[in-house]
Amino acid sequence: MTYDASPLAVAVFLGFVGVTLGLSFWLGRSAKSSAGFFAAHGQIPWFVNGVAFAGDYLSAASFLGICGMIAFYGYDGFLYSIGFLAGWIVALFVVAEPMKRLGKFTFADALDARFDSPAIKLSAGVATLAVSVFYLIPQMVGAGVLVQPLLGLDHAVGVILVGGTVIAIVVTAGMVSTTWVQFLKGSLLVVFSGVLVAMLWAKGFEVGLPAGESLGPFDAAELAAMRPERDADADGPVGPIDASWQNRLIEVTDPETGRPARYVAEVVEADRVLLHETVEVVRPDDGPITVNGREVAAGDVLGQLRPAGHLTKLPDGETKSGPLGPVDFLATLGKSEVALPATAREFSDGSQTTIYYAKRVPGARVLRPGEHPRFRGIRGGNTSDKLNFLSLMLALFCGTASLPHILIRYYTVNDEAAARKSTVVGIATIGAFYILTLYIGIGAMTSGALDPSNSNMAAPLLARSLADWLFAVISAIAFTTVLGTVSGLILASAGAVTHDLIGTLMPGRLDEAAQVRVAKVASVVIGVAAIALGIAFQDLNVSYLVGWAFSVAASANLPALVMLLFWPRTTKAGIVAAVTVGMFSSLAWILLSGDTFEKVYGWPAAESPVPFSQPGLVTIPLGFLTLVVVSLLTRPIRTEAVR
Amino acid sequence: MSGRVLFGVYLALYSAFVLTNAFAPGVMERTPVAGLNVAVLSGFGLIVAAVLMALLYEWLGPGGPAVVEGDSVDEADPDAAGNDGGPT
Repeated sequence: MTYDASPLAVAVFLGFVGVTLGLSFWLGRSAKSSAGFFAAHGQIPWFVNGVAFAGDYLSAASFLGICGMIAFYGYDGFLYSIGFLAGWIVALFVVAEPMKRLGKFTFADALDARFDSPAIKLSAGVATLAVSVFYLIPQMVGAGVLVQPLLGLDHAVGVILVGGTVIAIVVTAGMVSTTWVQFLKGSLLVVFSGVLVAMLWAKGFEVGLPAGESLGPFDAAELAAMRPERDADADGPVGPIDASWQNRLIEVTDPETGRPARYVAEVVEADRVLLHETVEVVRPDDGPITVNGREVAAGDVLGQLRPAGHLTKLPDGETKSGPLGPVDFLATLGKSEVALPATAREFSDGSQTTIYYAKRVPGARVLRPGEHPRFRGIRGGNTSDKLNFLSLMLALFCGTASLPHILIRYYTVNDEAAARKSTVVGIATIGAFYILTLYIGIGAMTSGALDPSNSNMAAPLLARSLADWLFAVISAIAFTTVLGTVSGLILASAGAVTHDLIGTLMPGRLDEAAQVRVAKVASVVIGVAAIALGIAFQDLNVSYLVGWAFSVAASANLPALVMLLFWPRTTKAGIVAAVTVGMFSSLAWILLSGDTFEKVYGWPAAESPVPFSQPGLVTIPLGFLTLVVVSLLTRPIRTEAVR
Repeated sequence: MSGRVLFGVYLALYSAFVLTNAFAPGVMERTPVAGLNVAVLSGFGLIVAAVLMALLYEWLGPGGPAVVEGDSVDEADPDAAGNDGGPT
């Protein structure tokens, strides 16, 4: 598994960045006021705004994360696509028009429209900042993940490169340039994903086998003789061979070298197994890294891994399917067998072992939910696993309409009708893309080109397996994906700082020009902070972090927004309490969850005090409850209803 | 039809999908049509339904969540609802 820094990819990337920066300098001449900086004077045409919604929303998590998750685990990644799109229904039917009617620059504006309360502005401003920063971290981590293999640059260099570019885009022209960058990115992403999928259909499936030596087939007695003498039953199954042996790791003595090594079993002829070689990377706390017993330098480990993701059997023993339509593509996969990239990790005193192997599963299994560790619980009898799943799907549904960087896009068009129309365009664009994610993911799963150590690279590597130029274009689009979303997030954060926090704490002190200056300074500060966080959190999973942002957004913002629109008895204190309780309860739940215990602190997940990791199922209703109780306990201000 | 009704319909579809996944995952593996299983059909169905409902909402006219009698189109350009000119 090697990545060569592709000159074509570098050239296309630089071309993209040059065009977007040039565009933003050119457009930036007109954005001197705060109305221009934060809301592009409300003059963005609705169609452009709709596609820009897609550019804003389809982040690195959507493009790289979802495709990667489908490539490694199948249908489970597509659940994110479904949930992410469903959230737009809340945005269109509930939030779009009132947001446009009530607000001016920020989400806090809309919440505060009836009350003119500094407390609401401050709490909503802090919530905006918290959500945006959470969302920024995975985008920046994603940038570093991409740059490393594609341009041959260090993770930190990639993060700084993307961060610097984005700061330049935002500071030059605020919302005007950000909108056009997002429009370009949204269009390119959907068009070229479509091209990629069309090429996949035209090519169809081809049988390929994972690289590496295979031994056997052996029966149980032959296998027993090959086991190393020490702890013969500690590694791998014992007893008669049956279907449960499929994909089990078995330690046998290598016939050539005499060294014990782990092989993965494939059950053939009912009671015999083939043994396929694995790649076993041992990292001792001190001493050199070894791969399958040979010493290698730390930088060369990736080169020792084998490209993964194969279609190992087609129906009726065919080796090539020929061109397939969209329906036949999925139906054929359902009757085939695939070899998924799989990883096993072992920790022992003084060393850490990672085993990369190919897991052969029926195609029908990757087209059903419950293959990814996070979703496996839905097939078990454990209620808390099922609640965790419901909680995630609820957060995805409620989160979209609560993301500040999406909500501010309602202020860039000139009226409610345009807000509604642009949401419809956004839904159509995003929906089309999400349908494509399933095909891109499956294409990558069967491409024989996956990096088994990095699922985020699935889509670009699939493109490389089809054509070099496509790889260059898809990589460049992946970069602009990060650019577009990060610009929106920085702008939302800068708006919250300037307008909601400083504007409230120092009322009347800032004139228009000063507001824009403060916003630009805030953009630089937040951008630099995002760069630092992106470097600090580089080992955390991208989609995992995005889940945090959605949960916090839905818990803090949605109850206040919805109740303000639909419940006339809502009071100022109720809104402040709901935002504060929703934000802190979801943050606390996340920090105490089993997932965080395991992945961030390195503690056992079982010690977590909360019953499941995703907070939404508890903290979203808690936000609503807080709002209702506090509103009923406080005196409403008599004002005309919002609507 | 108001936005609230459409929202209710979609919420029901989405809830049915999520609850089936959580409590009857076996249903998702059945292959009723053209070799496609329920998981793929319902997933595509939800995405297509969202797009169609969004277009329907736009075509039925303005009003937003507040208007219950939504089928009387009373915007300035009723003839061109949903197709009024594009970006200017």
